[in-house]
Amino acid sequence: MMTKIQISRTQYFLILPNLLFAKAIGITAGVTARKVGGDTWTAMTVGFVVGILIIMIMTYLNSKFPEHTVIKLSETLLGKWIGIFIGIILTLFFAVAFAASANVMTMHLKEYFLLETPFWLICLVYILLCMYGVFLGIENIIRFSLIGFLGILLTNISMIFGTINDFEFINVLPLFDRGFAASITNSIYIFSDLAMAILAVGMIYPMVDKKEHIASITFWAMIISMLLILIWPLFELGVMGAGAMKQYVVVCMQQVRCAQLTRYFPRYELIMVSFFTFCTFVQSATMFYCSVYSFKQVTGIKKDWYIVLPFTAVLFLMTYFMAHDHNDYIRFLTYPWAHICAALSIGLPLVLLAVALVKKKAGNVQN
Amino acid sequence: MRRIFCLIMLISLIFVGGCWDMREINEIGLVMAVGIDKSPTNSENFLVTVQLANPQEGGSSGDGKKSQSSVWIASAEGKTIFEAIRKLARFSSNRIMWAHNNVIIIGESLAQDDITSVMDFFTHNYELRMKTWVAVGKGNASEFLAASAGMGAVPGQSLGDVFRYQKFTGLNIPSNMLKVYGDFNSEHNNTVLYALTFNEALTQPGLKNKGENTNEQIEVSGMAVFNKNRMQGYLSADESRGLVWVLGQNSNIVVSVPEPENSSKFAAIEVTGIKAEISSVLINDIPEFTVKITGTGNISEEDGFSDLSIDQFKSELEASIEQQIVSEIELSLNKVQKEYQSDVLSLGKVVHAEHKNEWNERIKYQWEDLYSEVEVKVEAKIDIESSALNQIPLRDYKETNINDDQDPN
Repeated sequence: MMTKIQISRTQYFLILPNLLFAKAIGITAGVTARKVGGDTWTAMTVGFVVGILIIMIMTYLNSKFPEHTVIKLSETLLGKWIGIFIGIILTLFFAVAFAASANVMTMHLKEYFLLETPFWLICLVYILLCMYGVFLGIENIIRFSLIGFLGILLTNISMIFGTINDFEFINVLPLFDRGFAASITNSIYIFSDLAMAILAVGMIYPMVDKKEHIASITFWAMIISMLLILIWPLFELGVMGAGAMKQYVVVCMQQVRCAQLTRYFPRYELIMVSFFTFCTFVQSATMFYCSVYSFKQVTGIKKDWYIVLPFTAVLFLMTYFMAHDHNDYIRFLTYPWAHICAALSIGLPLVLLAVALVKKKAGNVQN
Repeated sequence: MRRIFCLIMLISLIFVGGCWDMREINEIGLVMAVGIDKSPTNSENFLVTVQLANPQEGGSSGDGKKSQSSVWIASAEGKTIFEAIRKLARFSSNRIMWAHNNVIIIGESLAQDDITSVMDFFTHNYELRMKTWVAVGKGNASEFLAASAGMGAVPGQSLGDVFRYQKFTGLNIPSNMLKVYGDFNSEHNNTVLYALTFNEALTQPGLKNKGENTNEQIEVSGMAVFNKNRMQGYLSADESRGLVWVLGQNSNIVVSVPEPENSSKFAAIEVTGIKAEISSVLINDIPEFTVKITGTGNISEEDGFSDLSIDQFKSELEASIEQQIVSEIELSLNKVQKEYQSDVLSLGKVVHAEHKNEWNERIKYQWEDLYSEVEVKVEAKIDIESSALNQIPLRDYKETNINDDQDPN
C-alpha cells in the first residue's frame, strides 16, 4: 500500500468532486436547511468560497514541501511531538469522516430500498467493500474517480431533467433572507464535507506524480465541484421549497422521488443511486485509507493488515452506532461534527501557513 | 491473507442477495388508488379503502366492456392510517405495494376536519411517488374507488390519466403530492386540490333512455380550497379558471368570447405562451398587488360572419379576451380571498420575496388578517398574432358586398 504510490493529475482533479459530492447534496443540504431555510444554497456557497481559499492554502503548503503529507509537514514545522499529536487527531478525524460518509450510503439503503435488511448488515457489507478498496490501495480507489465523476454528471443531469418542470424560482427568493451574516455563520455545515477534501489533499498530494500546475488544477476542480453540488440545494429549494426540505434526513433522495421523466419513466431513484454509488465509495474508501495512512505515519507500522483489520472492526462499530438512530446521526453532524471539521480544516492549514511564514521555511526547506 | 479476505467476502454473500427485502411479483398487490375517510362508526378513526389491480382479470373483453373484477377493493379502519392499512392484511392475499398508486382521494368530511395525517403518511411512505395525484371527493372517498373512470380497465389508473389531461380543459390546477406537500409546509401558501364528483356517462351511443344506459363515472369538478390543514370550500370550474391563468402553468387555454359584430355568436381563441407576473408595492406597510397576464392568441374558431378587416377583428377580440381574463381572475380571487381567506395565489410569498425585511419584521405576523383586505389589480395583455390558416374573418358573401381585393389586409 505504501510503496511508490503514484496518481496522475487527472485522477487528482477527479477525486475532489468525488470527495465532496455524496454527503453535501442531501445530508448537509438538509442540515443547513433546518438552520437557514431558503438561504441554504447561499450559505453553502459562502462555505465553498472560504473552503476554496483554504484548500488553495493547503495546496500552497504542499507545493513547498512536495514530499510531505500534512502530518510530516506538521512535524517539520511544529516539532515531532506536535506532529504526532496532529497525526493522531487526523487518524481520528478520517475515521469519523469515514463513518459519516459510509452512513450516507447506509441511510439511502436503509430508508429507501432495504427497509427490512438489518442495519448492521448494510454497514458490514459496505465496510467490507471499503476495506477491500483500502487493501488494494489508494491508486485503485482513485481509479474509480473517473466513474464516480461520470456518475455525478449523470446524477445531476437526470435530476435536472426530471424536476425542472416543477422548479419555481420564487421558492429560491429572497436572497439572503436571514441576512448575509446568517449565511456566513451557517456556512459552517458544508465544512463537514470541505474538511474531507482539504485534509485528504494534505495526505495524498505527495502521491501526485507530476506537480506542475497543481494549484490551478485544485482551483478548477473545486469550482466544478461547487457548481455540481450547489445545483442540488438550489433545485431542492426550487422544487420542494424550504419547508419540505427541512423535513427530511436524506433530502437528495426526496428530490429524486420528485423527479419524473415523462409518464413512461415515472421514477428512477434506483438508477440515480446507482450513478451516485461510485462517488460515495470513493469518498468513504479514501477516508478509510487516509485514516489508516495517518496511523501508519504516526506509528511507523509497516504491515497494512495489522492496521486495516482492527480499523475495519472499529469503523464498523462506529458506523453502526453513529446512525442506527438516524436522528442521532443528523444531530451529530449538526453539532459538534460540523464545528470540529471547520476548526480542523481551517485552523490546521492557517496555523501551518503562519508558522511557515514566521519561520521563513516555506521558501527554502528542501525535501 | 487474500484467502481469508475472499472467505469473508464469500460468507457475507450468504447474508445478502436481497433476501430480507425480497418481494415476489406474484405476491404483491399493486395499489392503483386509495381513499381516506373518517370512519362512519367512530369519527376519530380513519377508514382506508384501497383499489388493487387484479392481474388475472385485467384487460377488456372484445366488446369493449370492462371486466368487473379487474380491480379488488377493500376497506379497513384504524386509529391511524398506517394501522388501518396493516389491518387490510387480514383479508388481502397479497402484500400491498404503494409504488404504483396513481391517486389519493380524501373524503369530504376528513378534508373539512384535517388532512395533516394524510399529508404526513403518504410523504413518509418511501414507496409512494411524489407525483401521485391528490383529490377531494365530494362525499365519501370509498364511493369513488368503487366507481369507474375514463376508458381504462383499471379505474385508478384511468383516473390518473383523467388528471393528467386536465391541463387541456384550462379549468384546474394540477394537484399532485409534490405541490400539495410544498404548499402544506410553506409558511405562505395554502393549497387547492382537484374536487371529484359523479357524472352519468352514456354506455352506448345515441340512446335517449339515460336511466337504463348510463354508467356513473368520476368527473373532475372544480377545486377544493384549503386554509392550512382544513378545506374551506369548493370552487366551481368557472371559479377555478381564474386561478389557472395565474398558477396553472398551462401551455394553452381556450377562451370563447363574443364576436365583435354579433354578441350572440362566439369566437374561440387559443391563448398560448401564457405568463403570469405578480408584483407588489407597500403602501403604509400594506401590500398592494398587480397581477399581469400576457400571452399570444390564435383565432381557432369563428361562429359568425364579420365585415371587419382582420386587424379590426383581432383588435376587438383582444379587448374582449383581456376583459374576460380579468373577470375570470377577479371572480376566483374574490372567492379565495374574501370568502375562503386562503392564499392559494402565493401573494404572501411575493411580498416575502420583494420586501423581505418588512415581511420578516412585521407583515408575516399580520398576514392572516391582512390577506383578505389587500387590493389586487388584474391586468391582461393578449396579442392575437394569427387567425390560424385564415387571412380574413369569415365573410358572408351572400349578404355583403365587401371586395376583399381592395382590403389592404
